[in-house]
Parts: sequence; C-alpha cells; structure tokens
Amino acid sequence: MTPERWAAIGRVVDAAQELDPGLRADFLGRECAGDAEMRAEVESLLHAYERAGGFLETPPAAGPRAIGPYELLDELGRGGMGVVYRAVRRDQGFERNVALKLVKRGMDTDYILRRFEAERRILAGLEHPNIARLLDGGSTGDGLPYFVMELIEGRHLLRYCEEERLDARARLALFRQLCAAVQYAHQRLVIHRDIKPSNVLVTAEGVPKLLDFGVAKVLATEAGGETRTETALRALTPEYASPEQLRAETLTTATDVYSLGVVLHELLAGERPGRTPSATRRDLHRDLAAITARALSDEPARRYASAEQLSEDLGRHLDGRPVRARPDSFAYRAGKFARRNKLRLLAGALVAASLLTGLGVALHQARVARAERDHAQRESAKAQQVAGFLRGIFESLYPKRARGQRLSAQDLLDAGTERVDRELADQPELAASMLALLGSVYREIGLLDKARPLLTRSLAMRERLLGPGHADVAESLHALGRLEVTSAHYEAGRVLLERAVAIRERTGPPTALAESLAQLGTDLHYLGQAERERAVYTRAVAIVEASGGRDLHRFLTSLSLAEMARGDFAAARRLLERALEDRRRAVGRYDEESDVALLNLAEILRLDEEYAAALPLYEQALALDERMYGPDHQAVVYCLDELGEIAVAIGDLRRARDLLDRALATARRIHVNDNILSLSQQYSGRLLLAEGKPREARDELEAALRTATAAYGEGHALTAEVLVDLAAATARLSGPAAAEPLLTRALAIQRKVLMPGHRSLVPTLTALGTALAVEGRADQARPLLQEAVTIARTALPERHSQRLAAEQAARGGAAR
Amino acid sequence: MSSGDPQPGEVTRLLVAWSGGDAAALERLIPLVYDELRSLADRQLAGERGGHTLQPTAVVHEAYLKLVDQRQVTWRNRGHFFSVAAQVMRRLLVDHARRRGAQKRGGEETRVTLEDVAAETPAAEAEILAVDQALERLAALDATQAKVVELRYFGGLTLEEIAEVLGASPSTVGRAFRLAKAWLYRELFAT
Repeated sequence: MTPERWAAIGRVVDAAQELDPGLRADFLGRECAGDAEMRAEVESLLHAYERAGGFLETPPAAGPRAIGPYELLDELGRGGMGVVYRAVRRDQGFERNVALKLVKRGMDTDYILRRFEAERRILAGLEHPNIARLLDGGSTGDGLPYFVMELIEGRHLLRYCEEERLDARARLALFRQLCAAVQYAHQRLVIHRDIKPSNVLVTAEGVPKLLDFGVAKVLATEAGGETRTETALRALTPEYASPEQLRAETLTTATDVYSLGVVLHELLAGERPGRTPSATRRDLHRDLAAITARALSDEPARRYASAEQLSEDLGRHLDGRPVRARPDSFAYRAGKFARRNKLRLLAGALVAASLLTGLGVALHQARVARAERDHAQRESAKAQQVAGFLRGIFESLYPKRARGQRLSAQDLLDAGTERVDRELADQPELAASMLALLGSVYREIGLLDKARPLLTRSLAMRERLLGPGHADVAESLHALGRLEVTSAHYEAGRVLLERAVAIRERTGPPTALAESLAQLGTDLHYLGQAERERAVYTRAVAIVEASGGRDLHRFLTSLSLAEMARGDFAAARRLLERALEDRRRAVGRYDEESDVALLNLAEILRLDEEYAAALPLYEQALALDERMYGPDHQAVVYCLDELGEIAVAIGDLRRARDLLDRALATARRIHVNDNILSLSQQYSGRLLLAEGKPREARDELEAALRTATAAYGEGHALTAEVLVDLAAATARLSGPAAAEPLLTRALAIQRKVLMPGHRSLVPTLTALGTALAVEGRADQARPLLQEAVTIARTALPERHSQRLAAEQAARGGAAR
Repeated sequence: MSSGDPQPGEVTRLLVAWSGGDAAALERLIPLVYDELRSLADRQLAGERGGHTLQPTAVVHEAYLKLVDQRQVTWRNRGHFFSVAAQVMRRLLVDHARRRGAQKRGGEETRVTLEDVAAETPAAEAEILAVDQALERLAALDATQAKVVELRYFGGLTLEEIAEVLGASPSTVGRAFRLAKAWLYRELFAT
C-alpha cells in the first residue's frame, strides 16, 4: 500500500465512523464505487476498530497487581479452578516466592473459606518432600478465594518423562515417590481427591511434587448438600476420578489409589516405544497391566488397600519377583474397565440424543469438508481428539446422571465449554474448533448470548493461529455470521458472511462455499435486497447441483425465499415442492431438514389463501419444532403465529385467540427476536380488529410497528405491511381519510423496495385508493385502484380476497 | 552522563536550544533523557518502588519533573521533552520485553508477530514487541499516526497532551489515533 492510498482509505474510514452504523453501507457504496478492494479495506478497518476496545489506550504493563500481602509476578498457568500466579510476599525484610492460586469466579467464596479455615491446620502440617505445602489462603478485595502454596519450579509429570526420555523403570521410580507422598497424607487422614499428572511437578533435580493437596477437599464438599455437590463436580477431574467419586459417594483413601492407577496407566502408555529390550517387554507389560488393572478396580475393596501396597507391588515387579496382582484377573478387569466407560458414554448419548444429532451433523460436515482437503491423516487424529473431548464431556456429567437427574443439551454444552479452557489450553487449534462447534450448537438451541462469545473467540483464535485467509477462519466467520442473522443483526451478518464467501471462493470446498452463499442470501433477504439475494442463492443451487450434493433441498428452499421476496410465488412454490420431494426421496418422510421448506410452502399457501392446504403443513412444522427445540423456542412461536393468523382468516376467532395468546406469552417470556415478536404483535392486532376491538388493535399494531422498525428499520417491506394493518385499524376507528398518511408512507416504502408489480402492493393500493376516493379525490384514487387491479389479476389467484377487494374498490371508486 | 544525576539546568538548556532550531542539541539531549529514564525504569523493575513492571506514564512524568526546570520551559519545550521521552521509553520497553521473552524461551531469537509470542510470554511483553514492529510499518504509511501511537502507548500521554506536543488540534490527533488503532489491531490480530 502507498501512503496516498492509505490516506484515501483513512478519509473514508474517518467519514464512515462519523456516520450512524445503519447509514454506512450506503455511504461506502457511493464512496468506493468501482473500487471493491478499497471497500473491503475500509470495512475491515471499521470492523477492527470496533473490536479493538481498549487496545493501545493504556500503556503496556499497568503495574503490579497485589492480592492480600502477595504481589503477583507472572502467570504460571490456568485451569478449571482458576489461575496460578508466581507471587512474592515481603514482610519485614523477609521475602518469599510462592505460587498463588486464584479461584475463578462462580465458586462459593464464603463456603470455601470456611472449609479452608477448618482444614488449614491439618494441611499446614503436611510436611513431606514430595508434597507442595499449602501455606495460606484468603479472599481478594472483590471476593475471590485464593490459596498460597509452596512454589515449585518444575515441569509437569508427563512432559518431564517425555522430555527426559525416561524409560519405564525411571518412570516407576518417580511414581513410587508419589505413592509415598500419598501414603504419608493418608496416614494423616488427608485425601487428595484430585490426583492427576498435571498436579505433579518434577523439579530440575528430578523430585516429583504433588500439588494441591487438600485443595480439592476445600473446594469440594460432603456428598449430599445440593449446591455443594455441584461445586464438587466442577472441582474434580473426571478422567482421573474413581467410580465412587463420579457417583458422589463418600470418599476414602481408595479413591486416591484409583487415581494413582490412572496416572500409572498414563505414565506407562506414554512411554516411548522400543526402549525396553524386546525379550522382557512382553512380561513387563503383563505385570504392569495387572497392577494397573488392580488399582483401577471398580470396587474400592478390590483395589490395593493403600498407596503403599501399590508401590510395593511395583517394587516386586522391578525386582523381578511375582506381583500380587493376579494376571488371570486382568483380562476380566481391563475388559470391564473399558466396558464400563463405553456404557457411560452410551448412557450420556441416549440422554442427550438431540444434542448428539447436532454434534454429529457438525462433525460429519467437518469431516466431509476436510476430506476434500486432503489432510486425511492429520484430520483423523483430530477427529479422535474431538471424540475424546466429547467423551470427556459426557463423563464429566456422569455423576449428575447417576443421581438420577436428566441431562439437558445445555448441561453438555456448559460442561464442554468449561473443558475447552481447562483441557485444550495447549491445543489452540483444537480448542478453536471445539469453540466453533459448541458455539454453533448453542445457537442451534437458541442460546444466542452463550453462542456469541464462543464464536467470537474461535474466530479470533483462528485468525491469530492460521492467518486471515485460512479455510477454518471462513468456518468461524460463517458461524458467527449465521449467529448474527439469527440475532437479527443483518448488517453485521452481511459483513461477516461476505468475508466467509471471499475466503471460500479461494479455498473451497464448493459445498462450504455454497453454504456461505446461502447464508449470505438469507441475510440479504432480511436486508430487503431481493435481487442480490436471488443471485446469491441461484449460484449456491448451481454449485450444489453440480457437485451432486445431498443437501439440494435446503438450497432450493433458500432460493424459493428469494423468489417470494421478489413476488414470484409460483416460482417459489415450484422450488419448494421440488425441495420437499428431494428430501422425501432421501429420507422417506418429512424430517427436521424439511422444516423450512414446509414453513415456506405453508406461507405461500396461506398467502394464496389455500388455508386447508396450509394448515396441516404448519401443524407438521409445529410438531417438528416442538420436538427439536422444546416448547420455549422462537421457531415454535413462529408456527403458533402463523396458525393463529390462519384461524383469523377463516374466522375461527376463539382458536385464533388461543394460539396467539400462547405465541405472545412465549415470545415475551423467552425474549424472542424482534422479527418474531413483531409478527406475533401484528397478527394479534389483526385478530383484535376481527374481534371488533379497533382501539386495542391500534395499540397492538403501534407496538408491532415499533418492534418491526427496530427489527428491520423504517424502510423495510415488512415494516410497510405493519403500517397497512395499522391503517386498517385507524380507518375503522376514525374513517378511511385518517388512514391516508399511514398508507402513503407504506406505499412509498413499498415502491422503493419491492419489485414493480409485486403482489404486496395490492392491499396498500386498494386501501389508499379507497381512502382518497372517500375524500372525493377521485382523480388521485383512480390510477391507484387501476394499478391494484392490474397487479392483482397477474399476481394473485382468481378468488383471492385481496384481488376481489381491489376489483370491488375499483368499481366503487369509478362510480364515485 | 551515565554517572551521577544529570543537571536539570542542562536538559532544560538543551530543550530550549533544540526548540530554537539547534538540531545538534537533540543529539546531546537523548542520552541524557535515556539514562534518566533507564535508571528510573530499572529501579521500578528492581522492586524499589514495590513494582516489577514498568509504568511508562509514571516514569516519563517523573523524569520530566526531575530533568527539566519547569520555570524555564514553555509548553512547546515540554512537548519536545515528551516526544523524546516516548521514543526512549519505547526503546526501553522493547528491550525489556525482549530480555524477558528471551529468558523465558531459553535465549531464543525474539519473535516477529504476536501469534508466535502470545503462547508463552505474558501478553504485555508480546504486545510491546508486536506493536513496536508494526509501528515501523505504519510510519512508512503515515508518520504522524505512528507518532501519535508512540506518544500514547509508549509515552503514556493523553490525547490532549499529544495534541499539545504535536501542535495539532485534539480532533486531528483523535482521528489519527483511531485510524492507527484500527490498522494496528488488524495487523496484530489479523482481523
């Protein structure tokens, strides 16, 4: 870039920033006409500025932070419970470096501190060369609990073994020191409860130190207490937790023996192959496997009675003596171990079938997309990691399930989100993928506020890790763009989706490009850009048809929306029928995927006043949506709205009242998006009018107008429709003349955004023409009414009420 | 001049001379300011003031009070001082960040972009290095914008103070800063 170019870009960015965000697109369109590159540049800078927050606003390093008497030096690590800092305490010339663990927000400070006080003496008394001492605890100014521990400079156990290339013998020696530490604590009646490799640091001298002794107990609870148990669950680490721990039963020292078994297993499985002479390898393996299996027995009573006994058996093995763990029982136990885990996985899966479908689809799409990318091997490793991660989510929730509670999709997602931070900190690419996946599923189940931060983070991470033009960045852009569309932030959605399209044009794969195009089309639909919308969808359909895509029905459905927006209902209807047929051929019935096509076809039928045909489609869609999303979802509200509107149209007012009351109540309770809410209000206004309550109708429609304006803006076709309804209520209250300004406004909007000859013009023209005729302005009324009739005769079915009304008004207007 | 305290009179005299058009005065001024800033910074880092991180705003203002005889300088001299101080502070912070980064990574060469560094070094140091390098690229496009960022970020000056230093209107400075911020954010975080 040249300085001149940068200055020119700067001027446009500057001017755009002065403008209301809603006006920027038009402004940029003018300023950057013919210079797409400049426009992209300006948009990306505006976007960057919006996200930059306090960046550069304050000088770097805002000074030291202190907690209590401790001054924080730097961060040592972070995990599920919180952040660990290197800190220093200085009193009276005495200086001591320590590790300070700051417990994250959301845990019960008072309770934790009470626990800490109760345990403090015992914990402070734990003095063992392999145990990091707990020194102090307290709470910060803003109420977060913290613990202060002896500072250990060292590497995590597994990393140490890897990097030092320790053989099995050396690993066992380290492990036995841990056993000794655990044994020492057990004799003082302290159970660790959260033994895992990351809680073991090995110093440069090769001394292993067990961290966090007693912390789990302080953070956790006795079994039984309601909220307490929740805290306990979060504090422990499921992969290393014993079955009784997962069931939240009373814990004994056998629990720690089990966790030691898991650590042992990991230490040995992680051993570098080929370092042991092959002659002894087999025996070694059998012995150690037997010992591990015994430590991992389901029944606490079948495990080693103490950490010491476990250590002794390992000692026997190292000396070449027969081990106590009987090899013949190994196969049984190991098999049982695996089976149990599998069962646990299955149980979780069944409970959360709905979520799994979502995850499955997402994973499948990810696999398909990636297969096209020729990274088969790396991706299969990634897929395994993802599978492992998902399994972890289920397992982490096992205790809750074991207590007989039902798991919801949200439980799984919440658990998953938490685990991303805890466990994938060192695998940022995988973490970004999981965040994208979790965010998408949150969006899918309507928890938009939970989805947004995850997707935003995923995008930022990927941009940082992979560069701005990477296919995965496009995936995140797409997901976030889709969320914005769902949240009715259409302008933001457009920017994101256009970027996703631009990347995918280059990187492919074509199916992904088609997805982004279609999503962009949806966004343009709401922005009221019908022609661009149609062009984008048409391209998407062509791509999918060319690649023989199995999802053709979805794209046809989307294209039909564009045709509807243009007013070509006949074309839309053909596309939808084709889409539904495509889907029915593929799966043998209407299913979740048919939802949108069903709704759109239903809407066309409703608008064509074929109510008998529309009704069963809406009912099917409602049943589908309730099954997929539960009753509290905006898709359900939408179906109720439309069913209510049909009931109004066919004069079943009692049923209409029932449906629309339900829709409005749900809409308000779950805070649906404004576009859905405005529909509920609009239909409810129509119903009030039909019920002969024009005053209430006008109030409701005024509310609808405000909501629609908030959702779409003042100049949108859907806002104009609400104006027409409001005009009807006003005419009923104060005569046709009073409605005239509203209708004039509506018509001006429609003339601007609708295609000439669009059928939605008919009721507006008719009403306005009638109003003018009543006022005696026949000259002005006549051409409008004539136009209404002309459009009605080409665009509306023969017996359509709007067509009849237009014809009648034209005759009446002419008679005056 | 690294031994002993510099004389307030001398810095003031050089500042006045430089503002009066004596370019050579700047060359003698910079080492003076540098030494003072570094010793203030070192003391801060050594924990003498109970801190272990640099606080540029405090350091720069403290150096100013110490080095410049306030009775003899005009706002324009003051502006020149801060301009020099911010430059020097930038160098100090970058050196410091490099050293800390290098310690952490066993003496490896320092990294180029934030992505590389972010994984292990604390964010502030990674950010300092990345901003420093990106600023050089920005200076090639618009020197004023780069200067504004230097004064704000490394010198810890407010936008009003920067306007004073550069002799520009606050709104011009604000605009330059906004643009630079957007550009740098995009450079660093690749949005």
